[in-house]
This record gives sequence, structure tokens and C-alpha cells, in this order.
Amino acid sequence: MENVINLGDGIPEHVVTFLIGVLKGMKVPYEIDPESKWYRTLKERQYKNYLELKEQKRVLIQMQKGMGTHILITGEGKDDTTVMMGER
Amino acid sequence: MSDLILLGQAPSMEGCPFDTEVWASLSVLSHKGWEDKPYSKLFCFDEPEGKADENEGLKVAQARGLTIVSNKPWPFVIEKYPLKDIIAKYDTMYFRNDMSYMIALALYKGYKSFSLWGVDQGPEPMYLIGKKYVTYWLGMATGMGVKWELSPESKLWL
Repeated sequence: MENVINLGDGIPEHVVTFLIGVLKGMKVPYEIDPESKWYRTLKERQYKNYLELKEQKRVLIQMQKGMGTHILITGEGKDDTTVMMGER
Repeated sequence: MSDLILLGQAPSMEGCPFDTEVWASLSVLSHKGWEDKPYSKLFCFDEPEGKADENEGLKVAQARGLTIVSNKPWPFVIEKYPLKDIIAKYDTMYFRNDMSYMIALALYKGYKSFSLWGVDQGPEPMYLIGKKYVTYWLGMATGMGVKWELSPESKLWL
């Protein structure tokens, strides 16, 4: 059976992060229940996502002749985003 | 006696013994009577120009030729903070305030014990926000078997 730590929702966040730190320091693998409020508030969990996104998304800014004051910004990643900014 | 003192500028800084190596937030030097203490490293991660205490501390540190540590490419930085190495080693980016960076570096450098002075993380909101980052790294230290203690008047756990 997986070990489970149940934390009351009244426990202060800094106590939770202390606990997470202890687990990290002991190199104990852990997961935070995605349904719990801690999953979204602990930025520590977002690290791997950040690296994945950083690798995938590239922004290429290039100037093309004949475009005048238009600027074309092309991004690659999970969500292709093309933004064109022109004259007002 | 611990191997290292990590010093912040909260009221619980009073009584800091300076009986071992001391690392401090740059803003500590802006406090009257603290300018001439023996510091081996000062830490700065916010642009000093925008903060009066950091700016004042910077002037004192530069006048004394003290070692300023940061991961920012400012011209006054003498020692580069090994952020990427620490992130890689501990698999985390959980940093926010000076003290979180300082504790992480102490662990990275292999200190076996340290004490925190001037670390209350409150009651002002800007300090409360940083509390969980400090306790995270104290937890890391605990899990690694590194001994640490708080100054007697610290309000960190309140």
C-alpha cells in the first residue's frame, strides 16, 4: 500500500512546504494529490512543466523587407501562436 | 555553535553572536550599527536601485570591499550564485527571497549546521509571502541531516 500523508486543509502552507522539503532532502519520492489545494499552490511542482515548455516553445523574431512597420512574431510549441502587429 | 550564521534584517537579528562565519542579506548593512560587522558574503537578488535598504547596503558593502553574491549579471556582483547547479542538484526551483537562496547555498556548500538570525518572515505581507520558501529549504536541510536552529526571538513558525 502506498504511504499516504493526509494534511488538514487548515495547516499553514509554510508547514506543508517544510514537509515537502524534508521529503526532498531524504530523497523520498512523493506525489501531491492533484485534487488537493497544495498541488496548484506549490510552485515547486511546476518545475518539470516549465522545462518542458521552455524546450518546446521557441519564439523567432525576424524582420522581413517590404513589411514596413509590421512585425511578425512566430512561436512554436504545443499551441502554435502567430501574432502580427502592425500599424495602428 | 553552528558552522554558519545566515542573517536577515528582521527584529530577531538582535543578539546575533557573530561567533562563526556570517552570510547576510545585503539590506542588513543598511541598519545602523551593523555596517562594520564581519560578513563573509552578502546576498542580493533584487535590483538595489528600487529598494532603499538594499541600495544603502550596497554602498556600505562596496566601500568595505565585501563579497556580494547574486545570480544577476550586475557589475557589483563579485561571486556568481551557482543557481543552475543548485537547481540541478536539488531538482527544484523553489526560491523567492534572499534567505531561500542562502539556505540552498549553505546546503550546496556542504555546511553541516547553520543558524538563522533576523528571519521572521512577517508580519508585513511581502515577508509572509516568502515564509514558505524559507521553511521549504529548512525542510530540505532537515531531510539531509543538516542541523539548524532559529534565533530565540524568531517568529518564523508563527
